[in-house]
Formats: sequence, C-alpha cells, structure tokens
Amino acid sequence: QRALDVASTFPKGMVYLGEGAENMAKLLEDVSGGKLKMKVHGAGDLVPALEVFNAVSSGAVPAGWDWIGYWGGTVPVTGLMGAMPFGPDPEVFLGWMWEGGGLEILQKAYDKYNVQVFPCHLTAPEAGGWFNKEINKPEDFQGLKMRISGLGGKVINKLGASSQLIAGGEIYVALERGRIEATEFSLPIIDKSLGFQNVTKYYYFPGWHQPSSWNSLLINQDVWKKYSELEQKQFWAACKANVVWSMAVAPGAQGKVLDEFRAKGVKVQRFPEPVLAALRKASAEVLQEEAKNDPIFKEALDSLNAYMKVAGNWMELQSLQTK
Amino acid sequence: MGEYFLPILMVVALIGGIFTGYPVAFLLAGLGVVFCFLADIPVLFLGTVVSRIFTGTLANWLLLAVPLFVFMGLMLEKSGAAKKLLMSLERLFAGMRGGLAISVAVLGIVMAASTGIIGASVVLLGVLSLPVMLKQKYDKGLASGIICASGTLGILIPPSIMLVLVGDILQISVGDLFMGAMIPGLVLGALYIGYILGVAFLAPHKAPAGVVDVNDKRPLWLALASDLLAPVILIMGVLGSIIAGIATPTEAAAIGAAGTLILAAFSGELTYANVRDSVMETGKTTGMILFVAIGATCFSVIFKRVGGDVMIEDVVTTFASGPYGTLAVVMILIFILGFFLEWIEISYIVLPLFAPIIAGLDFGLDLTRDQQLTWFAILVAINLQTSFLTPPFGYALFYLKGIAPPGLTMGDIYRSIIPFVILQLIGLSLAISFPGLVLWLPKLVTG
Amino acid sequence: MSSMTMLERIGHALMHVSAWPGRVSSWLVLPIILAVLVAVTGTMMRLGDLFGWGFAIPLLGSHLSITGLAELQWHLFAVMVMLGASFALAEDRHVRVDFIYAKFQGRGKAVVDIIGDLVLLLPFCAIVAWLSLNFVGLAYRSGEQSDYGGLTDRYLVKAILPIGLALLFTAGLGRIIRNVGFLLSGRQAAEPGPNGASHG
Ligand code: NA
Ligand code: NA
Repeated sequence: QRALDVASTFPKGMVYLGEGAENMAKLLEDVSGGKLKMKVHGAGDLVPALEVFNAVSSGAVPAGWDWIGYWGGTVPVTGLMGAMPFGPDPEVFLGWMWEGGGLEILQKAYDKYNVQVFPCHLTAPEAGGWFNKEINKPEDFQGLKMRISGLGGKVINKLGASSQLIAGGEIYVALERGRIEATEFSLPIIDKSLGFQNVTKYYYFPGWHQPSSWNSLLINQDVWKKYSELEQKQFWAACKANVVWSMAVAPGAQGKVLDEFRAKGVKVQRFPEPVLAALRKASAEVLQEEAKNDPIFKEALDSLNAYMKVAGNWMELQSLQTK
Repeated sequence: MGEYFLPILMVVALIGGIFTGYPVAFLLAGLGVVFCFLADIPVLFLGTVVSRIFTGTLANWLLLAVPLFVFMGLMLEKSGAAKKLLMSLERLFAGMRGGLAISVAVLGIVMAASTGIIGASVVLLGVLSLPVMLKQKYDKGLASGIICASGTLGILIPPSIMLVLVGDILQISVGDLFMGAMIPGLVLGALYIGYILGVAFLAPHKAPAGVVDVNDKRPLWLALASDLLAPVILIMGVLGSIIAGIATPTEAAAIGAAGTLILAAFSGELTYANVRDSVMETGKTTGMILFVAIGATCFSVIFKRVGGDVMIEDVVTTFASGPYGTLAVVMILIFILGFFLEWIEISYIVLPLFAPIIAGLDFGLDLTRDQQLTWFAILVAINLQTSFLTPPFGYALFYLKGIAPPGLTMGDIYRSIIPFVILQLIGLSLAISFPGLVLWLPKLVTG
Repeated sequence: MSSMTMLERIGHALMHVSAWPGRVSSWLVLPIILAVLVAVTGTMMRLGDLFGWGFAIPLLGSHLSITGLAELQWHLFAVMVMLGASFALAEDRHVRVDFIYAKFQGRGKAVVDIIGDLVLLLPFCAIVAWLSLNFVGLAYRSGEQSDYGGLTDRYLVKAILPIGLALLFTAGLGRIIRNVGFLLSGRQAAEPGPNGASHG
C-alpha cells in the first residue's frame, strides 16, 4: 500500500505545528502495526499552503494537514472551528469537538466538498501579537495598521483599526519599516523563528483571537471509503492520541522563549482589561454577523455557546483561581 | 539505479529539449504533463499544478512587482531621463576605461537595496544601459554579463524574498539573515567591479573609455547634477518609501512606475504612443516571464513525484564525509540543480532535507545552532543567486534576452556569464572560509 | 502576404485572435499602479474601509476596503499574466535557448515548433484547463471570498485560468496550422507574421 500523501499547510520542520503531522504519521504506523503510513509533504511541496483544502476536495492530493481556520473564505464555519475569538479554552473546546457535537457539524459542512475531517491537534492559546506602540485603551486601536488574519481582523476593524493583508514573506520588512505597526502570528516558539523580537517593542497577551485552535487531517472521501473498517478505526485512534500529544508538549516550551524575548528588551505584557472588554464586545458582534450570513456557522456558534455555558457551570465551581 | 530512471530521464529530456530552441516555458510545462503519463500518475494529480499556478504565481502579491518594474524601466527609457544620465556619466567617466560598466554595477547594487525582484532589476538595468554600452563599443559579453550579475544581487541584498523564504523553511530569524547577507552581497558587488577594472586594464577594447558628447555645452558638473536629479529622486522615492514605512517593496514598485510617468510628462515624452508602446511591451514581457515560473512549477511537482527528491537526498548521503565534505557536497549539488531548477523549488526540495544534517555538524567554529544555520542559509542564498545566472536555465539570462536587441543571441549571453559565475564561486568560497563575513553583522545588531 | 497558403492564413488568424485579449489586458498595468497609489495613500491616512454603498455587486461586495484594493491589484495582475501568454506567443516572445535553433533553416524551426506545440503545449493547456474548471466550480459553489474582508466572488479571478489556457491552446493550434501550411507550401522561408514577427 502506497503511503498516504499528506499536503501540510506548515513547513515540514516547523516547530510544533509542522511536527504535529509527523507525530500523527508515527502514531498511525504504531496503531496499525506498520500497515498504514502517511508521507507528510511540507507547505508548498505539493501545493501552496492555502490550496490544501481545494486540492483534497478535488482529489489532486489525497490528504492534507491544516489549521482549520484557513478555510474561512470557502467554508465560513471553519473560521469559528479553527479558533473562536474569546472562545473556549483547550479543555472545553476539546469536549465540544469530540463529545459535544462539534465534529458532526464540521463534517456536515465538509460533506459538500467530499472531504473527511479529523481534528487531531489542539493548540494552546496563541500570543496576542507584536506591537510597535503601547496599547493602553481601546482607542489605541483607532487607525492601527495591524496584520491579522480571519475573524480577528474583522474584530479589530470594529475598533477602528485598519487590518492589513500582508503576504507572509513581507511581514518582517513591513513591521520593521513601520508599514504596519502590529502583527500576530502564532505561539512564542514559532514567532521567535520569524525574528519579530528584533524589530518590535511590545509582545501582548492573551491571544484573545485564538484562545485555542484546532489543526486537522483532511482526507478526500473517495480515498477514505477505500479503507477497511478496521483501518478507519486505526485512523481515529491515532488522531485522538495525537490530540493528547499536542496538548502535552505545548506549554513547557513557551515560557523559556518569553524569557529570551525579555532579555532582548521586548516588553511582554497583557492587554489592559478595558481593551479586552472592548475586543470581547466587538468579537460578539462579528460572530453574530457571521452567523447571520451562514446557517451552519449559526448552528455551530449556538451549539458552542451552549456548551461553554454548561461546562462553565462546572469549571467555575472547580476553579482554584479567583478572578 | 532503476528507481532513479524517471527523474534522470526527466532531466535529460529537459536539457535535450532546451537545446532544440523550443520555448522554455512550454517545454517545462509539457514535460511535466508527459511524465505524469509516463510514470502512470493519476491525471487528477495535475490538479496540484492548477493550485500551484493560482496561488504561487497569479495570486502572489510579491510578483506584482514584475510588471510594475518592467513598466518603470520602459517609461524611464522613454522619458529620456535615464539616457541623459548615462550620457552625463559617459562624460564623467570619459577618461576612464570601464567607467560605464562600473556605474551599471553601482546602479545594480542600489536597485538591489530597493527591490528583491530579479526580473525587474535585470530588465531595468538592461533597458537603461545595454543600448548605451553597445553603442560605446563595449564587448557584448562584458555588457550583458555585468547587467545579469548586478541584476541578480537584488535577491541576495535585503530586502529579499529569497531570504524570507529560506528563513521560513529553516526556521531561523529572517532579521539575522538580512543582516548576514549584507556583507557577502557587497563583497560580490566589489568582485564585479574589480573584474571590470581588470578587463579594462588588460583588454581595453572590451571596456573602452567613453566618448565625450560634443553636443552638450553645459559644464560637466551642471549636466551631471541636473541629469542625476530625476533618477535620484526616483530611486529615493522607491527606496525612501520603503525605508520611511510608507510602502512595502511591492508597493514601492508602483510608486516608482508612477514617478516615471511624471518624469516623462516633465520632459514632454508622455505621449499616447510612448505609453502604448510601454504598456504593450509590459504585457508581453509579463506573460513571458511569469509563464517560465508556471512551467517550472509543473515540471518540478512531477519531478518530485517520480522520486527526484529522493534521488537528490541519496546522492548527498552517499558522497558526504566530514563536516566540510558534507557542506561541499550540498553546495555542489545546489549549484548543479541551479542549472535546471528554479530557486523556490530548490529551496523546498533541498533545504528541509539538509538543514538537520548541517545543523548537526561540528565545524569547530564555536557557533550556536542558529548561527550555524544562518551561515549555511547565506551560503545557500549565494548559491541560489548564482542559479539565476547558470545556463541552460537561468532566469536572469532569459530576462535579458527578453529585452535585448536582436543582435544579442542566447549563445552570446551564455558565454558572457561564465566569468561572473566564477566570481560568484569565489564569493561563495570566501563566505565558507570566513564565516565572519556572514555572522559579524547579525552579532553586532542582535547581540 | 500574397504567397501565403490558406492554411497559413487560418493559422495567422487564430494566433491573432487569441493575442487580442492580451493586447487589451496589457493596459491593466495602469489601473494596478493607480490601485497601489490609492491603497498606500489610504493606509497613510489610516483608513480601513474606503467607502460603502449598501448593496452587493459582483467582486466588490458592498464596500471597498484597503484590503479589497490590495487584492484587486493581484486580481488584475492574474489577468495580465494569463492573457499575456498568448500575446507573447503570437509575437514569438517566449524565451528560447536559440543558439542551435538560430542555425536551423525556416523549415527546421517550423518542425521543432510543430512537434513541441503538439506534444508539449497543447496537452498541457488542455489538461490543466480541464482540471481548472473544477477549481473554478468549487470556488463558485462555495461562494469563496476573501478571508480578510476584501473582495468577494473569488471564482471570477480563478476563471482567468481556464480562459487564459484556452486562448493559449488556440494560439498554439494556430501556430501548428500556420507551420504545417508553411511546410506544405514548399517555400524555404516563412512569411512575416501578422504582427510583424517572423518565425524565429
Ligand atoms: Na534586494
Ligand atoms: Na540556472
């Protein structure tokens, strides 16, 4: 059996995000006794990163590995599934996806495109972004030129910011030269490799636009149907095991990198509460607008909000932190 | 050896096909399709080519700079500003052999600092200076060689798309790469100028001294100052808008293009005929340049699918021994691949395979892992810059051919580039022997 | 022109027709420059949305933002590239490594081009154009649009792929017919093309 070609949206060696697919490949081989193999191709190797969904859907490549939120332009609900602004933390998002009806809604949206989806990688909260000016109050977003993707961009525009579309390769120069004043990218360990710490003054948290985010394995349904029932179960088992891996390895590495940034003179700090409150309000508005435009988005948003409320009943009682 | 049959056959077919004279863009594209059938790959897989064309070329905002710089170059020529400047430079260098070629090299370095698009630099330099150099009886080879070589500096000297991509693939700081490429880029520029001076000294007929333009009655200083004014304002506008944070390098190209329209208006050359000619030429040149990229993307995705990437990996692991031996094999391999493949493809094929190998080597230089990879990345970058110059498949050469007068054949251009490729290899050897050339500036800036 | 055979005339006509859209689209370089200048100025003035009109129209949606303007730039660029290819073919501007080719006689050049166009160019155009129909269809069915609040109706710009390739196919077919006509004519040298470009 030829190894399943998997086109990733991340560079092959990319810390954590790229490794996720490699780890999944290893787990799949383990649980199938070496029978099922995945050959992971880095971003751009077979198709450009942002073409992975189209390519899997059309059958040009049999499988892909992605951040779910990349497909917001094609399948609106993925904007929510990839990461919900002010949405659930990883624990609650995990519960909703696997046991609370999330996966079923996502699969329903993907059925139209002949794609089978496996949410196999849950990423810890990302950073709030790199800023070249201090953010003290919501008004500081007025006119701010920030590179930010997806729903997050629509949210900051509500605060009067000018969200910018800058090609990945030009972010560094644009930031260094002041063409943009802020950018978000990913986790600290990943941001480090892009060198933003050399050209920015402030590194803000929390990553309100991505409190937790899903990466997934995509398989063309024609390809998926050819696997035996046992093999299909092996895929699911490896996928779930990979989720555990993704949650287990992320937190430890970040703190060390933050110390390196501080040593370089970057101010690592939190957004002030009034700023978060304004962003929270704008996020709710954006989510409602998106829900109005797409019924599946609405279904997912209602379901996730309901789940967060129920789970919140329990989580708050058990919380050891006082807010 | 049997498993390498198809990738080897593909390379052989490419080389053979190139020499028949059939258009390179269609040869690359067609061979991809033909080998998809020969290798019995499902035809649906060619859907990857559709995606790659769309996102990699059509929706690639960075490539937008190509038509903009082409148009800028053409209008600059029509405006007469460039010609006047070159004529004044001729007067300045009137007594000096090779003076004009040196000003082309200097202009190339300035262009390199303002853009990362090779096609644009080569086209602009070519349109500006090739006719003048030929008129001055420069050796065809020296003229086209210096244009191609200086034009390719743009992808090494920051800002550079290539360094951004390499940094992304290797997961090292792009900022460090930008700093690291600065000195090697300038060293290469100095090598070109040194070579011109050498030729001018040893073979004066190849790099003649300029002839003073008797029609111009202005004093030299006044002529230079007034002729320099317009282009300097233009270059400052392009560079300045990037440095001041007003525009990205791509956007700056449009500012430059608009600037040349204004220049043309001032010199009374903003006529319908001039604009139409520039527009038509821009349209054809854009289709031509970007279709080479489109063909290359089709060729290389199939090349990898039939095992070309595995073949390359095996070659290195078979021949490598010791840290410098391994480095040498990787460098030679990239150099050879550079004959046929495009830098983006080489980056994606080779770098992920070899980065971990290189990172694990001990060169006895007392470098951190990141420093060692930064050094390696710059060596790769110099090597990839060279790939634009190496026949048979060198973008810079094609660009120049695209705008050259009919008398200049592809064969002339191929021959012209040999000394400059040797200079590139000297530059590469220097960067290997003295890692400080690469690492000194990043250390200074980021500590 | 008078000595051209019927086949050559048909070939020339096909090449000429498929080059025409590229001639027109060459002018897009001017609106691209304008779009960049407006976007840069808007960004300097810290604008996000430029203006809105409250109802949806194709491609632009209901408002024009700085992001939309940035996307419009590469949309126009995509059109220039795909249509420019057949324009360049008709004028024989695609790069050839010509130091052997230049030594061929007119008939030898024609044979190289006929074989190349038949085996390489036409299959590429046909297959990739065919596969791109699905690509465009998917964008149409899903209502794909910018994920950055920019332009809508992404299928419109994607459609330039099959359109451009179909034109290039036509241009290639025209060149084959012209070259076959030339070989059959028994002459030694080809007539200059419709746009003044002779063969090779
Ligand atoms: Na540059
Ligand atoms: Na080359």
